[in-house]
Amino acid sequence: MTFGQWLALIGLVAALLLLWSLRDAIMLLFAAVVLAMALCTLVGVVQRRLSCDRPIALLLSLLGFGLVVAVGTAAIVPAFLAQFSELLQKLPEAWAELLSLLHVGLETISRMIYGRSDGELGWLQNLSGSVRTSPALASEVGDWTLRLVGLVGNVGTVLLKTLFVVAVALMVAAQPTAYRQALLLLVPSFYRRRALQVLLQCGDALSAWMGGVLISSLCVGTLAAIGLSLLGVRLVAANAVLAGVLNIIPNVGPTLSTLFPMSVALLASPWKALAVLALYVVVQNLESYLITPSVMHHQLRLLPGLTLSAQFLFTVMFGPLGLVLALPLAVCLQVILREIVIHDILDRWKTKSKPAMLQRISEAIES
Amino acid sequence: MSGRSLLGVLALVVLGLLAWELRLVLLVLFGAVVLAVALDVPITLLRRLLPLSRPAALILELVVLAVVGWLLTALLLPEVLEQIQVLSNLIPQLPARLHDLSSQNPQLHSLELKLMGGATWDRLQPLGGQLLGFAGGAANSTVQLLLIALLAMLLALDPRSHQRLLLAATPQFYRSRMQVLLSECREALGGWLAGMTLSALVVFLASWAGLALLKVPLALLSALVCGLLTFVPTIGPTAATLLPMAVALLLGGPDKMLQVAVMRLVLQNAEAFVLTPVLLSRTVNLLPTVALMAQLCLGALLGLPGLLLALPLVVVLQVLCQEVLVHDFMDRWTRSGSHDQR
Repeated sequence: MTFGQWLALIGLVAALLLLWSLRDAIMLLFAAVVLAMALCTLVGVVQRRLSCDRPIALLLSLLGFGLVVAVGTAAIVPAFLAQFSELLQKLPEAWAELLSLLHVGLETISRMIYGRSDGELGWLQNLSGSVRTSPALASEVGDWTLRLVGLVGNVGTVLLKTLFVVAVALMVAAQPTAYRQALLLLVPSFYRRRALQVLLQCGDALSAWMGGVLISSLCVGTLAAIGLSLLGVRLVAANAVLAGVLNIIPNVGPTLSTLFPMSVALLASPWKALAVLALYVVVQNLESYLITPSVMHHQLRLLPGLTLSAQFLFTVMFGPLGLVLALPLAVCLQVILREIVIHDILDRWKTKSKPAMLQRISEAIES
Repeated sequence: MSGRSLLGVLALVVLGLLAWELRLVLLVLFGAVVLAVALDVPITLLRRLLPLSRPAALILELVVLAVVGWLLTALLLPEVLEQIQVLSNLIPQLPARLHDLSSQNPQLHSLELKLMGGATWDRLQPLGGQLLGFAGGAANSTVQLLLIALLAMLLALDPRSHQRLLLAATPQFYRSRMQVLLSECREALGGWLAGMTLSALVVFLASWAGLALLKVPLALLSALVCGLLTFVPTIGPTAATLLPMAVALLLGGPDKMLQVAVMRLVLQNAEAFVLTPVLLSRTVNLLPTVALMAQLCLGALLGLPGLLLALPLVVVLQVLCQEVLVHDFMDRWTRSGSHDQR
């Protein structure tokens, strides 16, 4: 190796270390790029439909996007705030309900086993009684929420980050070609054409994935709304929107979205909670085995194990934001791995000394 | 691999680690360079107009600066002093005023009680320690600022020989290129500084006029802060808005605060999206995301000084990237894999 090559190697290692220490900022940048890609896709659709200029299309799609977000927020937030405080007050009640259910169940079991009701499980009843007689739970929870509100710095940081992501996304969506060209300049000249191809493919994959997720989220939201209104659970709209939004994060999101309607239903009756759980399980299975396979382009379909491991990996590497962005990251990485690592490097990797027989065959063909 | 290149690589790694350890010192040096360029721009202009030697031009410039500063201070000091006195009288009223506002709303009141319950004497004690640390930090940064000013004057006095020193430290085959690089960096920094100075001046005058029209007290001081903080894009103007807003809230009530906020918002956006791009379009062509991203990254790596110097640093880094990385390496990298560095 010459000195110049050593220099390049050291530079590469230093750049990678720097990038690793800046991974939070890079994650924010990626979030902004994903958002910008969504906007660009929308702008492209609007431009094609209405055949107007790009600035007008951008303005129109921004207005539409803002409207949808505003309506969604208006549907979710007030209902949630009202219900959440009610839920906090009713939480001890629900807890007592759950305990008494448990209690009855345990008693039944003990009666079945021992044939009488005094049983060895008295300590458990005492335990549940002691937990039940803590009336301070509601105020404790209230205190906790207040303390959470007191973490203004934390909230402020999150708000700033959101603002940053939105601002960068708007800037990128306003002139995507300039950013693409700047990125291409950083690639060796012999590889620029290919890098442009790969970049465009990444963009296509991202927008195709977003289209698929949009459709499947809509389906999940509609199904959840129908099911919840049939079951007679309150807050149908808010829960349906929540289920649809959280559907973007596979595995974790649907589980989270089940919690709120279940706790609301638990207040009414325990069987309703179980029914809600069953409904969400059915909807989730429908989504993952029927809707997504038929909506997603087959190249974008990730194996379930791969999805879960990608989520785990990115959460460990990048924190909560990594979990949210795990799927777009995986989609982009898939394209890059397929095109650059497999197609451009591994497929062309031949050993210098061919096996003797292959060489003879190729010589025979050439002659 | 020969012993010589091994030695070179080792020396390079050690130098890199050393530079990383001393990154704050290097940042101070960079601040001095930026200030020196700021001094150098009018010097060059002066020498083109008048037959002066460089030290004479520097002295003339410093004298002019001092006179202008003195005049400004003499003109504005009484008002600023008076206003500062008003402000220092007002600051103790701030919690009481907030208390009044919050007591109108029962929910806010309970929140405030909870917060105040947390602020007992025990918790205030570490605050005293923090204040001491803050005072130490202030003294430290004053020393650093003095150092920067001194270094900048020395650099501006004789830029040629410093440039020659830097040139001598590059390999022979790269020296002519290095000269081009240095002059381009100087051009970019000078252009950026000139553009930003104009823009800060406009912001200062516009804020002053706006605040005076709105009859907000302390208009001059607020406008000065707003103008100075224009040099730190995106974050600076937002922080600068807080002072006039707080004053307006104290003396005029929420309505006045809203007016001030709207005025500052309009001004700030006009500056960021119209004035600065127009002023900088000829010299520095920064993509807006790059500036924002650089502030985030440099703030994370180097703290507050990095945040303050992020924009000049990114201007220089962009020139270096464009010329060295893109032009000298990536554009010449052909498929054979041999990228010659000339």
